[in-house]
This record gives sequence, structure tokens and C-alpha cells, in this order.
Amino acid sequence: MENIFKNEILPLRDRLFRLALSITLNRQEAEDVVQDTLLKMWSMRDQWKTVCSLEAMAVTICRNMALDCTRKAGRDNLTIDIDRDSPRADTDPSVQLEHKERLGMVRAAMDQLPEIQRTIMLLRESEGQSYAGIAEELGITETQVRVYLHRARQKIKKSISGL
Amino acid sequence: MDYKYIEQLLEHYWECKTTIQEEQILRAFFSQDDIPESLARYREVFVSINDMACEHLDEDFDRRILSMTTEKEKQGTARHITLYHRMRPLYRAAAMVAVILTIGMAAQRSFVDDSQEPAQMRAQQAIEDPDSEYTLMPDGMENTSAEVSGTGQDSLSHHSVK
Repeated sequence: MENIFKNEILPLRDRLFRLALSITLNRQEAEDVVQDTLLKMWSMRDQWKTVCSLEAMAVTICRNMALDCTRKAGRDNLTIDIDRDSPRADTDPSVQLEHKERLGMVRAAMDQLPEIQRTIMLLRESEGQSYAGIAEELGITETQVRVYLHRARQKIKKSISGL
Repeated sequence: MDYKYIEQLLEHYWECKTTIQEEQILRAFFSQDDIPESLARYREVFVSINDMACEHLDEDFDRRILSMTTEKEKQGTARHITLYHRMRPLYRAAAMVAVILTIGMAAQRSFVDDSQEPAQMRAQQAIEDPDSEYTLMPDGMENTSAEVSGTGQDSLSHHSVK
């Protein structure tokens, strides 16, 4: 049991963290959600044999916990406090400022997406998951995944069209 | 340089018609520093996505989780007790009482049967040895004959009334 936890469940921590972060938009809360998710997975170790995919199980628990967390906090439309700035070779301060401004707008547009669209976007863009895989993990159809992702991408495109 | 392919991929990307590999090509392209002005505004989208994919927890997190699970293991898991399990001692006590009562009733019944047995034995003895039985119960016989004669008189008087 301990080996399964160490080799199959614990390595999911970063993935779960990104998912929790995309929902809670708060680093500390996302970390707490991942911790609670992993401890819950451990407490449910008797059921591991009956579950088809431990990964899907962990993702579902993490998503539900993150949603509970945001519901309890009762907040919307926050922005992830990404302190790390993507390095650029541009040395011109005006170019860097423009880049920072654009980045802020794109991130704000992403953070303001409805939770389901944000989660699907994360699973597709950051985790590189297939439409079928996302559909299975979220318990929706593949067509719904495509529709939500299309809406999300169109909103992002619209947000940068004015730039 | 011709960026037609990238532009085409971008069009497909917005319409969700790209494959995972094509999306990787786009991310790799926009992670470069040298991007034409016409495509520059899309750069931040893919930079944001790349940033999102780089988010991770520190190594200390693993140690914390493992120590927590070990601690939980030591404490033992809390067992969920159902109402049936909670009431089990009561059921056992009730079952014991039922068993004792059944045995008690069965024993009492057998004692009643035993008390009837001497009468049967005496009847058998009376058949086998009527003289000895007669000496034991002379009054009983007399009483019985008196009752029989009394009843006969009553029935005769009853007939005469009619």
C-alpha cells in the first residue's frame, strides 16, 4: 500500500496542485487542498483495488475539495499571484512593460473564465490530456469538453484582440 | 521566413481543431524570443500556459505528507461503527434471556409430565393387582359408588318431573 502511495499517488502532487490553483487561484489554499486530497486518498486505501484509475480518483477529490474551498471563501474573479515573471531577452524597458501588461491581461482573462472552462483549459494546455481523457476525469462527454474549450479559447482570443 | 504554417495552426487552435502535438509546436514556437510583429500579441497566451504548466510544489511537501501518513498509520484508522454493531451486546443479552427462558419452560414441562407419571403407574398397578389398590383407596371407591347412585336418583327424579 505504501509503495503504491509513494509511486503512483504522490507523483500526482504537482498536477493536483495546478488543478487546485486554477480553481482556488490562491497558492496556499491550493497547497492545503492537495495535502487534504492526498491524505484522503491514503485514508481510502481499502478502496484502491476496486477503483479503475487512481489518478482519476485523486483528480475528482482534488477538484471537489478546491470547489468547496472557493465556495466557503465565497470569492470570484481573483487572479493567481504568479510572482515568477517569464524571462525575456528584451532589454528595452518599454518592451518589457508592454509584455508584462499583455501577460497580465491574458492571465486576468484566464482567471475570469468559469471554473469548468478553466479546468478543461488547464488539463488540455498544461497537462496535454486528450479530449477523451478530460471527459472521463470530469465525468462529462467529449463533445462538452470541446464546447467548453472552444468557448474558453474564444474568450482568451477576444481578450487579446484589442492589444 | 514564412509563418503561414504557424498562422494556420493558430486558426485551428482557436477553433479547437489542433492535435496535442500541433499545440506543442505552437507552445515551442511562442517560447522563442524572435517572434514576428504580426504574431507577437499571441505570445502571452502561450507564455501564460507554459507558466501554468511549470507550477509545482516543493520537495518538502512530499516529506510532510509521508510523515503525516505514517502518523495516521500509527494512530490507526477510525472504525465506522454501524447501529447494528453498536446494539450487538443488547441483542446478545436478549438472545441469552430467550435461551434461558426456553430451557426453563422445557424443564418445567418435563416436571409436570413426571408428576403425571405416578398416576399412570398406579393405574397400571391397579390393573395388575386390584386387591392391593382397593385396600389403599377404600373411601375413594365408596365415594364413587355414592356419586353414581346419587346421579341415578337425580336422573330418575328428573324423568318423573317430565
